[in-house]
Amino acid sequence: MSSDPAQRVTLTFPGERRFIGIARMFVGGLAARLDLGYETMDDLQLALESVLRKAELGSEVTLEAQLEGEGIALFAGPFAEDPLEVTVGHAGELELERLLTALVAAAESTMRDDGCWLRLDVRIPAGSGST
Amino acid sequence: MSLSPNQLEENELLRAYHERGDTSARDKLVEANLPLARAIARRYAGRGEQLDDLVQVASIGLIKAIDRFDLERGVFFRTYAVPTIVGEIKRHFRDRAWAVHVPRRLKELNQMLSSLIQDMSAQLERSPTIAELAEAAGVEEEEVVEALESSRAYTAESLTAPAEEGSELDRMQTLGVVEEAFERTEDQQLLASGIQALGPRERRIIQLRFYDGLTQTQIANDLGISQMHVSRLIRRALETMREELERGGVDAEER
Repeated sequence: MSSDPAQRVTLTFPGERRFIGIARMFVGGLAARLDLGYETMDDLQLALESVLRKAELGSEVTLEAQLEGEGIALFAGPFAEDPLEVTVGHAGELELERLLTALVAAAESTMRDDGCWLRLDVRIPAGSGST
Repeated sequence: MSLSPNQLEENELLRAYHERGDTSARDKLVEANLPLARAIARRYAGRGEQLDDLVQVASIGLIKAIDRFDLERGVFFRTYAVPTIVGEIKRHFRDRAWAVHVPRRLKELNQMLSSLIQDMSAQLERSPTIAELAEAAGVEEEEVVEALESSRAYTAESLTAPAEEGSELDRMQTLGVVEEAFERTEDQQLLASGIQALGPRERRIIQLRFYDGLTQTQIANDLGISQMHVSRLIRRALETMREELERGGVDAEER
């Protein structure tokens, strides 16, 4: 994790789905700051929104975004269960993993002391604006 | 009532559909009257809704007009179809009322951004950034983010809602389009209940985005609609699937 606070943005909000719009705005702000293209922003918003809709939310949700090399790592958590496993058995719904595969460069769950976190990676192509 | 050759043919098709259940006659009627539906939709463009959305709604109105037309009443089909289509569009505007109060300037900015994203994507051959959009629109970057978010704030009437009260067909199904790509798919998950709740176009978009790996821009080009519209359709489709599964879950519990 980057130790430079200027390279990291954090937001904590109540763990209720009605605050998903706040998470989208967070990504919007991130996109403005990092010069992301509209489509990259929209995909990341949908990825995060999908995670927050499917995950078992705790009392609070924290989003952490940080610059890492040529990309952004966006962490969301803590969740009581691994969001990538939650949808197993829900036949008919697109699995979160499939959604995330199309929307972000990589997605993986990591364990921390307070529970499970999901890491979403987005690559920022060189030059002004990404796709 | 003196009928032109076109009107006579139209009446024959209506008779074939209503009296003999000839669905190919219905398809011909839809095709023949789509220019009328498009023309009416264009009259309502520029009021905060995408033209292709309005054309779709007008098409639904046209189908309703065909289904409800009574040959015995002795009026021209178009005389009946026009108010039916207009009514459908007006209902669409009413149903898509903003769920929360969004200032007019944001609604207008959102509409402007939709056009800008489309134009600038073509010009730059990539998606514009927030800064580029802000500069082009002459507003601050924060306002761009806010306006884009505000577009998620209206109640979207699902196109997979029943076409008629009590009908088992959804509105997209009544359009009679067959999505071959979907029919060909070997992925059984696509055939599961959530996907089945989607109309042909929504299915196709889900297929292209999440199974074939096309980007929003590529899908937009493929379907001839804007990237922002693709984004909205993807969200709408996922929402419909979620609702369908929740409903299925409740039904299963009740059984």
